[in-house]
Amino acid sequence: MSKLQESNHRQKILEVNRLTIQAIYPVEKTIVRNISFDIGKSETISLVGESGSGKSLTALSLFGLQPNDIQISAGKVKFDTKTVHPSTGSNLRALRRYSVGFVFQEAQSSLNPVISIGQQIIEVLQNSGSVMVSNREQKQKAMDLIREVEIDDPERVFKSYPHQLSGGMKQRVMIAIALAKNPSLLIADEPTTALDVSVQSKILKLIKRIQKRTRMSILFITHDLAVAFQISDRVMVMRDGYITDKSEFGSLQFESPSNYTKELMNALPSWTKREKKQEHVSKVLSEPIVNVNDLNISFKLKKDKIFSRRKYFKALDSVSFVLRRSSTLAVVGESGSGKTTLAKTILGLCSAEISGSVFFNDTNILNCDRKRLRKIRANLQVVFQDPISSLNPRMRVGEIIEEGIKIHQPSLVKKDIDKKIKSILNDVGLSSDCVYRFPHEFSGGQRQRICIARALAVEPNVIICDEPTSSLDVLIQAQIIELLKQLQEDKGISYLFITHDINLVSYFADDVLVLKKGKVIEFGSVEKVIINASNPYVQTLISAAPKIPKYLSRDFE
Amino acid sequence: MQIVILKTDFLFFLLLAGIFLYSLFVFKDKQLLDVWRQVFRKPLAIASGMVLFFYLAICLLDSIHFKHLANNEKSQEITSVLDSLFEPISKQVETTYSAPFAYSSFVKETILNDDGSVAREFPRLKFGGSHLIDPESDYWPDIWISLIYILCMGFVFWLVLLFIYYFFSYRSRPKSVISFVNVVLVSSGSFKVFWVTLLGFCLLFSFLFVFAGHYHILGTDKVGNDVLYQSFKSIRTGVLIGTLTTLLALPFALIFGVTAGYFGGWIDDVIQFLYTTLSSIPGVLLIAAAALMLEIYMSKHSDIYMSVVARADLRLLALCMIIGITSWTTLCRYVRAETLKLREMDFVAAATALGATKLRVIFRHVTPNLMHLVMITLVLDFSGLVLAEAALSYIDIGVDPSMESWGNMINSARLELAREPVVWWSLGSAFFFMLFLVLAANIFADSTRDAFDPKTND
Repeated sequence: MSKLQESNHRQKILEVNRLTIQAIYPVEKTIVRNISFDIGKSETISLVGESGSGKSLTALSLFGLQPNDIQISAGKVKFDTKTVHPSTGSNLRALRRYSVGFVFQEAQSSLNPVISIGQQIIEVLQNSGSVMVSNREQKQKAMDLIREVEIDDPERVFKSYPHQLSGGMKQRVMIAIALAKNPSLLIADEPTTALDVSVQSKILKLIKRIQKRTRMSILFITHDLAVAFQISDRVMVMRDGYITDKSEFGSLQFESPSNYTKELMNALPSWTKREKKQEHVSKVLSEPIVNVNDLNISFKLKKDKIFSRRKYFKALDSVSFVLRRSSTLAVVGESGSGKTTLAKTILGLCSAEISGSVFFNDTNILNCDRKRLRKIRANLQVVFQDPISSLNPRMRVGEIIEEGIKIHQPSLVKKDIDKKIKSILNDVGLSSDCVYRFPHEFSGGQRQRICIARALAVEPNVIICDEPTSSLDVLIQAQIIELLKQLQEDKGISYLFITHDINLVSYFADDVLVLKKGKVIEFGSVEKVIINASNPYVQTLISAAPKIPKYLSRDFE
Repeated sequence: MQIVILKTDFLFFLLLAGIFLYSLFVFKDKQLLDVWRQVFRKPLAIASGMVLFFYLAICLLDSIHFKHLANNEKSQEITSVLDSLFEPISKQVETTYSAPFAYSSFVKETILNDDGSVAREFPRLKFGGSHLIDPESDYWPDIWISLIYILCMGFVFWLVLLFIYYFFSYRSRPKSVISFVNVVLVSSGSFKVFWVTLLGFCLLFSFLFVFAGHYHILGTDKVGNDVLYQSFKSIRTGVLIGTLTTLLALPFALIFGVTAGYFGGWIDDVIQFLYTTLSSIPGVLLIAAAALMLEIYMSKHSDIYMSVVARADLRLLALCMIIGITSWTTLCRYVRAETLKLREMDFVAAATALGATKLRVIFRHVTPNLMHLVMITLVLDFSGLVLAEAALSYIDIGVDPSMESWGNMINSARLELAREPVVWWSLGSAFFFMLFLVLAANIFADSTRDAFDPKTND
């Protein structure tokens, strides 16, 4: 690090001193306790923590964006020599208007759906007081901003509305809007969490490039340690409203990492960890249980004219693979590669034009009658990504688990059902008094356990996991993965594991299927496809995944 | 005496039977019972539930009809239990308007005195305050004494109920009366609210009981009929229009909405076409056409519908049906939209993956998640329907003019409000009777919905 930069960092843009944030309604509760940190000029600092640790709230409260029933109860906040808190009237608004830019996780809900992108940027330009005479000049400036965030077709984007853009594009637009006021501090609240890995790496690089040019400071909030290490100059770890670890100036290393941070680091899945556990990486090849042959799926598109020929969208293009008994097959690909369609087809939930065959044991699922299919379904179960929408909010946990048993073993008496439910709950690590509770009383990880329990109730051979851990925190993710592994060992279940997390794949899977736009790029064992990757597309996927530098992870061993 | 079951009576009994069966079902199911306990743990829900119960009880009393055969074989007059309870009052017809608690008429009349002179003055009423010998001096003392009497009577009545409860309370029979008083005083909110509301009802009943015999508590209308009696008779009309119509509309809305949303495709198209067409026909037109057709039908078959009550009843039923048929579209639209959303939820996919049939998915996973919508719409509709009845009566296609209803009362208030001084009591009593019904229904439905929504009762 150069001398100049270091002195720059010493010049502080934001100073937070013993900040405490409290909720005053419905119950008084301290959310953030006594935290202090500062951000230097043109420095990037990351705030890492699990959900509920208070990281987003800290960032929002600094500039008065917290909900009404939450208040800063103590502490000082200084922004560029001005005192922000204790508040001095209209200061906060001026700051938000001229000097601080925000980028949030959900680009979709941060953009106004009925105003065109260009107008939304111009609005910020006008608000932030950049004096511009004519409309043309304003448009010019807006176009410059769109170009700055490296959007290919600025003219089209200027005129289009949010729903016409992809997720990555929208996040770029959000960055452009944040840049419009030429901020000296950018607060990025999980800006890449909802994005694909490859899009994420592009956005991260973009943010870095812009920072180099504009010399703004960045407060980057994320739950992903790897991302934090990749983008920032300094890292802070937060838990339950405390900052547990803080790295020194210009360094990513913690001097004496706390147990919590160690735990976080150890929870990150990777190939090396798998090797270390001394597991036999390549199991004995078992016989196939699901055999997919030359599967084609195309969706009907809406006709644009009544008499025009119907167009089709090919979601899967001659896909073939094999899932072996009690092994894990990971399906990897960017969003839109047809991963979920594949899962739905195997489950028989897909209503589209299908050709090819999906054999479960010796039955072709695609052309067997309903009765047969219903029987087979007991063997093929599913765990979805979103633990909220995958449980019926009006049913108690007992009823949820019971449903499958009642369908497939209608002769079972109540006592036996209850016994079975209890043993299943025990298997997934939940206490048996959960039976009478509703899903909303549980946390995300526990809900995912309930989903697994629901699947286990019908004693399946195959569980299709559609990104079951991607909405969970790192520690919880590790627990769920361990649970899945345990169940595989105990019951010999095979998993079709859909994910976009390459690290997780190399930790957990036996075989990998890489999909791109509905086509199979590669299929084979993890060692062959990922660890010794030869395919260029797979290599780009691997390089896009954020990784913790070797010298850092050594600290935690 | 012969019991007569009119068509709407039958439907109302059916409704009550449904409620009864449901409560039996609730008492069997422990979890469901818990939820209902939760409803009745809320003070407001208890109070509003008791008010609703009061309305339903009046409606029930008014729905048990019978014919008097003893004195006159050919008499077709049908009366209800409520009528016989109100027997003296319903027969005490004055000549014209009189204010509440008045002893003299509201309108000046020319009176021929004994000595042959002619005077313009307010004549004494035939029934209201007729027990007063010298009204000028006796009026206020009589009112005050009666009020004290009412207070005592209400309290005594209430205490009797309280002691009955004390002797029959099976759960924790207190050792002494004093400890029982303590139990009542320090008991939980809902229990106290129950007894306070009951005290209110006791006082109300003794108030009605004492005063109704001597005065017209709510005055009389243009032809001298007692307004209190009218208001009570109107309860049945209001409750029936509110409940029967929604019950008639509900199956349409639910079945069509869920099928359209869940199955989609051409089924969706057909149902959408149906309700768009239906909702683009002016409802008033349909109702007017139905009312006229019914009139012709009844005049052709006058031998069947001889009695005034039976005719009015048929008209009420027809009105409920035609409003029901025209009003399901809004709810259907909501239900369809919500089903479209629910259909795509992961838990529906998971249920299908478990091998659940479509019917099972609809009944177990889709419909329960629609109930909050149904509940809100039904209650809002209920108040709207009671009001719609008033609007329809205004253009003479509502309930039969011979049938007492709040709509008819409000309708007549048009002219009464134009008088000087204003005749306010018809409108006022219709207003308050309606207000309490609609308010109680709203509050009760609100707490029921809260208790049934698993997310709110943490």
